[in-house]
Amino acid sequence: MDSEMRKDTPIDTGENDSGILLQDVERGLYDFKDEEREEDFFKVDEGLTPDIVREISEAKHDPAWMLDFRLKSLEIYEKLSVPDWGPPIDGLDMAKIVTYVRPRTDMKASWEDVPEDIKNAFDKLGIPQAERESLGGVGAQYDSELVYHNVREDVAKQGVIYTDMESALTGEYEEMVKDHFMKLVPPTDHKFAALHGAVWSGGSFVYVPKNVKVDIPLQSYFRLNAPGAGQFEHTLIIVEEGADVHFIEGCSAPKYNVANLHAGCVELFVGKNAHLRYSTIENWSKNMYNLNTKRAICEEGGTIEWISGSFGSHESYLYPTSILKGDSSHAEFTGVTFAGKGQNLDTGARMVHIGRNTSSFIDTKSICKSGGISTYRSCVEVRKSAVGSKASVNCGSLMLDSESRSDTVPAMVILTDKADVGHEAKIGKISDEAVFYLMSRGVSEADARAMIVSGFANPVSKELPLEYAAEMNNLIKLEMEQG
Amino acid sequence: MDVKNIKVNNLPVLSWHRDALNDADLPVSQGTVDAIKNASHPAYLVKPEYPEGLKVTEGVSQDDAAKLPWIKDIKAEKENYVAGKYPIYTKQDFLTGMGREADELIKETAVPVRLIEAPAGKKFEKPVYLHYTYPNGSEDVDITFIHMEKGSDLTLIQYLDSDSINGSGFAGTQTKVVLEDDAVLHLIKVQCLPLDFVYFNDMGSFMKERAHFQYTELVLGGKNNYLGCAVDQTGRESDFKADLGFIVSNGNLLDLNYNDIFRGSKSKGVMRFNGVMIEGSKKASRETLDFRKGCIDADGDEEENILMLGPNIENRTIPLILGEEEKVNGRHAATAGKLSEDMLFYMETRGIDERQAREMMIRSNISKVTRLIPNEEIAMAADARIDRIFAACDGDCRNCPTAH
Repeated sequence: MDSEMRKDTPIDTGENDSGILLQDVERGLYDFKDEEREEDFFKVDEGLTPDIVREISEAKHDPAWMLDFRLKSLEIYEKLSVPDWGPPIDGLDMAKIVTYVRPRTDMKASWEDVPEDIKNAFDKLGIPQAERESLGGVGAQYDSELVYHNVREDVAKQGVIYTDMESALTGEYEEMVKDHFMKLVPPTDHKFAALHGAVWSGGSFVYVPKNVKVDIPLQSYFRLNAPGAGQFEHTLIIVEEGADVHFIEGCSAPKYNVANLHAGCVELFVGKNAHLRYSTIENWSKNMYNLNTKRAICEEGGTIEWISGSFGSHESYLYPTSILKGDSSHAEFTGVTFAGKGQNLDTGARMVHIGRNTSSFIDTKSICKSGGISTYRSCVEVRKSAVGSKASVNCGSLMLDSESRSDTVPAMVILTDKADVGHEAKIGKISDEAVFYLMSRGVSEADARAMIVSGFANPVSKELPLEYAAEMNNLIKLEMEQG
Repeated sequence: MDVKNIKVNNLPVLSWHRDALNDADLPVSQGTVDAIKNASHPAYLVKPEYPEGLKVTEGVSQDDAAKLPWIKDIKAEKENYVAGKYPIYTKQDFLTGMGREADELIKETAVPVRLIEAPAGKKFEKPVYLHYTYPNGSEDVDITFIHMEKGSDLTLIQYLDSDSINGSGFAGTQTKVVLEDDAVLHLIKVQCLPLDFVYFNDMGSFMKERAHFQYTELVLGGKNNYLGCAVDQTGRESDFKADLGFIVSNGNLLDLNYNDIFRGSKSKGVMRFNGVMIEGSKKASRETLDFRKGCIDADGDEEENILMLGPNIENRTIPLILGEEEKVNGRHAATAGKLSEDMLFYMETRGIDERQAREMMIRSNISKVTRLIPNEEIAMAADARIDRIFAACDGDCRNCPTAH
């Protein structure tokens, strides 16, 4: 489909039940599509049955315990209901989702060996260039499996393990995977965690040994190219005592007129006095249901920092959770969400204070435009044991027109008097005075509004590596131009 | 005896069930419903004095009251849900804070309605004082509909107490208010019931153009307390101000749902919550600023400050800002915590011990509300209630005398 057609043709994604008709949007480099030839891919049938789960498990050469885990997860999935509190997901028909699509290629450690069509896709997204310039390691997942994985020699020499989940599961790290896999996010957590447990595929395994500091970020890029498919990657990161690492993930997909599903899972284990920064720029296409679960647990003195930019997806449920188990552990969440036409993005964070003297900080910005719906949802939970803890929440919402909707739903549950919790929320419009000021200095009104929105999102972009900050600003610019 | 849980104080939009903030259960026995149904009404209202010109009618049936034109024809368009989101499960003909099931309970009791009508342009200088005294074991519901005609001005105080210090019982009030253009109402509700009473206060209001509504609520007693407040600012330039002060004692509960809906352009709303939670208490608060399409240049502000005294406290809060209009300003701020160590140290250096410091902070918190009550007798009663709390206080919250 050429870009001119995309720009002008409204596409009915089958979401009419919820009253949402998606207008296709020119999203520049993210919207290219590669024709997938049947013979180049292995895929299971649509839907979700025990046989399909067995087929996935067999194709992935799972150990026996993993097949058992998958089947039990499927049983749990069947019993749980879809959430009644978030965006409606009636348009997602699991009977029509293909849960496993594997390119007929092994994972490559050399970029030159990756099949041409897949390589082209990632080339267009600039992944190899990013790796060359500043990254310590790169994983690239295409549909359900990683097709490329490499880690810089100097990083590997530090003892850092950065590999795909399948290699970790069937290799020397199997016991470590078994000890940690879906222990933070059990399949009983919610329906889509159970779905993930049943059909997960792909993702990354990272292990950073004690006191190792990785100076340059590790990165995973997820591309879902097949129409009507689901992506269920699992990311497991273990950062040992005193270690330090920055992990970045990027997600994109071309736009189709059928629903796609992303139900990934991220589990982060932050050891004593360790530090982990987890950054995400999510730019799924606007036919994507993004039902992702991310959770971190921090031991004594450990720190987790989440940086999150949510721009894509048709509907999103995303609330990274930090469990501050160890005394004096710390969590920060900095996020920006931009909901444009046809999008209903329900995002936020959850902080659970268990250890003494723990601290957390949430700083989020929500922007909605052209009929987009943005909901900020959070909870700060301070348990009785979390004596001396401090928590602060700051959330701002910017509405760019009256066709859109912005809701702020922050909860606080405080079970001890020996904690200080503060919360501040604001909703407002772009200041006419600020626009006038910029226009009086020769800036067009559209550019002035885009500048103000970029400034509003600045707390997130300034925390990202330069190339990602540029990508985020580009996305904001694209969204602003599309109105 | 059959006890059923009435779902009350529904959050305007659902959120995570695990946080237990989507609604609350108000347990009511059939015996309570029957006792209320069989009582003569008003049962415990001390004979009030009404000023000349204020029209007060007792004993109107609920059905007849619902047919009154100023109740029936309110410009709410029965939109008691958040537009564009989920159909709410508490749809009501006249929106109140506690919601539909509270309405159904009240309907079942068949308690008659008191109508208070302030004529157009009439300004009542002296506050109207309704004093209810509930004896030990009493069970009652009191319903008042207030119609503030154009340009009228009234202050109405509802004060609930008991002749018994340690009694138990069930006391509920429901108030529906319609303020016509330019009307001014200050509605004050003070609850000083014994610490074993179940208490609910359900309020709903519609405000037309340039109407001013000040709502002051003080809750110092009661075992399980349920407070609902819904205000629909239909008229442009309408102005709503709410102040809630409370002390929740050991083992007791306060569950509240305040919902300010902005529809009129340039409407303003401010809600302030100042509370003290004493060892062993529980509180759940839902505070919503809901900006509907068309409320251009509306301004909403809410603020909650909770002082927590004791290690075993359950404090839940969910302050919502819902927005479907671009040109608005909405803010929320909340703080919760103990007395700061710095503050205690400062006081100790001036010879004030921890027990006295706590007492001062409680009085300071509550005085933010009591000073809004134009009635010295009630202010003194509130002080006396705090005196009673501290009479046997040894400074250690774990030994709080409000424990049962």
